[in-house]
Amino acid sequence: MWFYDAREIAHGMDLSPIRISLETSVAATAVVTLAGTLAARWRIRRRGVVYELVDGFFLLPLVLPPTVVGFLLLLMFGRASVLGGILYSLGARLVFSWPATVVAAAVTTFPLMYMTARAALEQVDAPMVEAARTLGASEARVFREILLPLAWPGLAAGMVLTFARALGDFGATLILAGNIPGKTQTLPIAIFFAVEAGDTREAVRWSLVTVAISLAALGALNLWTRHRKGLAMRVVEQE
Amino acid sequence: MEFQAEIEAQRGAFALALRLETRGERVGILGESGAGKTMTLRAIAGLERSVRGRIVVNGRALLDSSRGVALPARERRVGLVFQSYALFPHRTVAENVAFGLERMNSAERETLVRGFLGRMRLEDLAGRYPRQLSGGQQQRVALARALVTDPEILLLDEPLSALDFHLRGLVEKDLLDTLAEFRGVALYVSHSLEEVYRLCDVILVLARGRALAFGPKEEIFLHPPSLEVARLTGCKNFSRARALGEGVVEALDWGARLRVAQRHTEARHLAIRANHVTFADAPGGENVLPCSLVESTETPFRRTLYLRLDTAEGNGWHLQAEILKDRWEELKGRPAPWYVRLDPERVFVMAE
Amino acid sequence: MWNHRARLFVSLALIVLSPMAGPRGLFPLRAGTPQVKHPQVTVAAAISLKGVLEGIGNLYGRRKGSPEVTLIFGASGILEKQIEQGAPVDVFISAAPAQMDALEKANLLLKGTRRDIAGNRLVLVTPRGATAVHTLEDLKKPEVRTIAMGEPRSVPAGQYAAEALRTLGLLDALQPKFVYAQDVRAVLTYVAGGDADAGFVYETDAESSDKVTIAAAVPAGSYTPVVYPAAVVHGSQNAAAAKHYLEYLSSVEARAVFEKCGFTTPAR
Repeated sequence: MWFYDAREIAHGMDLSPIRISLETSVAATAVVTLAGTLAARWRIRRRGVVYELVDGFFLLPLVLPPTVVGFLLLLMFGRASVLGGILYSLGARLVFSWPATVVAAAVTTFPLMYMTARAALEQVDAPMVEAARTLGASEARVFREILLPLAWPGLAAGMVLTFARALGDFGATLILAGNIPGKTQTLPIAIFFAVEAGDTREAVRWSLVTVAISLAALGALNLWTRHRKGLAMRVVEQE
Repeated sequence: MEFQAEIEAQRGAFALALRLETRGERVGILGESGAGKTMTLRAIAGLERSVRGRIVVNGRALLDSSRGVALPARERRVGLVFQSYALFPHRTVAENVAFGLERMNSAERETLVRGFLGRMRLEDLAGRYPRQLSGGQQQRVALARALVTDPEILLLDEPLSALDFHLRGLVEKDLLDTLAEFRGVALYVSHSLEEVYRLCDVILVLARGRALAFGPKEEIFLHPPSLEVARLTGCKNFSRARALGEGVVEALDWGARLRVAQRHTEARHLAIRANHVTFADAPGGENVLPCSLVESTETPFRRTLYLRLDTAEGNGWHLQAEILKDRWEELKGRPAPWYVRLDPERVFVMAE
Repeated sequence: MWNHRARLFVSLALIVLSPMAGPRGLFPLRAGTPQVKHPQVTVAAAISLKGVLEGIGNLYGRRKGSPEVTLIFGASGILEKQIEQGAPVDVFISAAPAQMDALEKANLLLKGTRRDIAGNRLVLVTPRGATAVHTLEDLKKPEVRTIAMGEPRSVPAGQYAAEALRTLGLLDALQPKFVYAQDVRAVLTYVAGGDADAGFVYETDAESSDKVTIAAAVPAGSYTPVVYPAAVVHGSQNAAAAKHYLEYLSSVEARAVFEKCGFTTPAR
């Protein structure tokens, strides 16, 4: 089987699902890292029941089945909706476009990053943040120089989780972006339709690629974590 | 240098309410755990959420609820040394100290920082990270970091309690020197009487969120206004009392009538410090009471004697006396009964 | 050894897992186990037959002595695979001959029971109120940006649409505009919402939604006629009941229902 696959690749088989999945996952991870971290920072400074309801809203895509998420997104952005109608008249088409894959992946992964970022920011020692404040730092500086660096390991882990989940999204992506080979057909969608069509070989091939990418991402995180620990150890040894 | 604070703060079920005025003295805040000492510092620093009242430093209001003024922490020009030091682990010693000087130009900042590091004997450690420092070094860094910004108020939250015992003496000496140089108001929180007495001029005694006493340290220690303040300032011997007039008070729990030098109108309780209890060679003198030794314990430098007064009711001990080791050597051979003397000048009379 | 907690845990586990052992669990029908209860027929049918088979099922159920019918709907391709893997289905109704042929070749059909029970027509639909498209040629217009159809490899309606477009020489020109859906219902949803400018569905599907209009019928000669073959699955434990059901599908009553829903019925 491997032999034939290699030959097929050499003969220019359509590898677009790989490219599309990577582009989508990277873009979604970037968007969600920013949005999730900022949302977490906004949230941890506030207390009260209203904000706990906001939490519920932020976490909704995690709790709902991805197909429902996709359907709700379609309702929001589809041509028949208010927002979608406005976009449509401006010449913008979100549904069945590549950006839709990013939107679907971002919405489904946002809760993951939000929760991880919150935990990472909250575990930063409160006295450190307070010390920075008494030393005259603005909230922005406190965030940039104290919270972010000290929460970084947790945030990085969140990014990897986000990437892995974005890579694997199927239901929401299919509904909002559709299956358009070369444009919105991500690896999970390619796998699904290959299975439906009875093409086991193709399905296995794409599955292995997905596994390889995920392992690579996790491996990179592991290497980086060990590198940081190594740095810390070396500093300690100098004492 | 003028500092006035009149604040009320709430955290859950705990309510803090106190007032404090000083002119550049070193104020010690004394109290047990949970009395509200740290909360007081945090309220002044602007780190506590619900604080109402007034805090004015040199005419500048940090807080004034009646006018809706509540400066955020970063504008209060307060230097706070946390109990855990709260050094930034991802920054070097020099970077930690320089943190509050963001607005200075870098040349000036470097000079200032280097100067401070030199004064605190930290110049060799400038490039190290907090986790590479000893407790005493970390404390000096925390202090330098707070002082380098030239704050108007310096708040120290139990600065010595995180240190190993044998280090405390050295670090305390350093602290004393630093505080002597500091020109602003210093508030020093501790649960240790000795520290507060040695390092501060004025003491605020705090319990359950309320100030029980405020005044020069000698006043507080020599004439504690209430039973609780006496206890909090380390007094160990108490008796209920009844005034008999003419400077004589009956000590009900000790079964004796004592002459007291302190002028008083009411006498509800009497107290005397353990280290003020002395021993007489013979009975019959003023304020001399027969007693016998029930138990004794020793510390490396002193011995504490638990004495039962013959005149008092009940078994067990009634008085604690603290004596130096050589005095113990003299006493221990003596036959019973022993005689304690309660110096009239040393007996506290309290109206509550 | 069996302390209180362990016993509680084991009891709970047994209770929770017990359905696994029963007829609805891992071992539903063991070969040779006689069914003693009221006769049952499990029918696996293409999703496009959902409404009409449910309607027919109601009529069937009212007749005395009819077996109890359980209807399972899905994409014909997936159902075929499941039957190949031994799913306990008595009757299979496919949306295209291909899947039935595959089962026949694998000797998975009860000989002599295969028959076509209905037919359908492929149509081009557009969102209600859209006016740009009246013929298949119009699909080439730039205003038509997205055309939805079933994925040809797995959805028969998509297969037919691709075939028709190839015959008509429009496939290459229109290829960049295609969005592939996993079933015909999804195609309808895309077009009804306006996100796809046109789509290929069966006439029956088009009539079931009032949010789409039929812009054109796909010319009859350009694609293999859509027939719905039905057959009893080999090895069915309810062969007699299954055959009874299949007979009913060709009855006058049933044909009326098919036609009312927009299907065509084979000549008697």
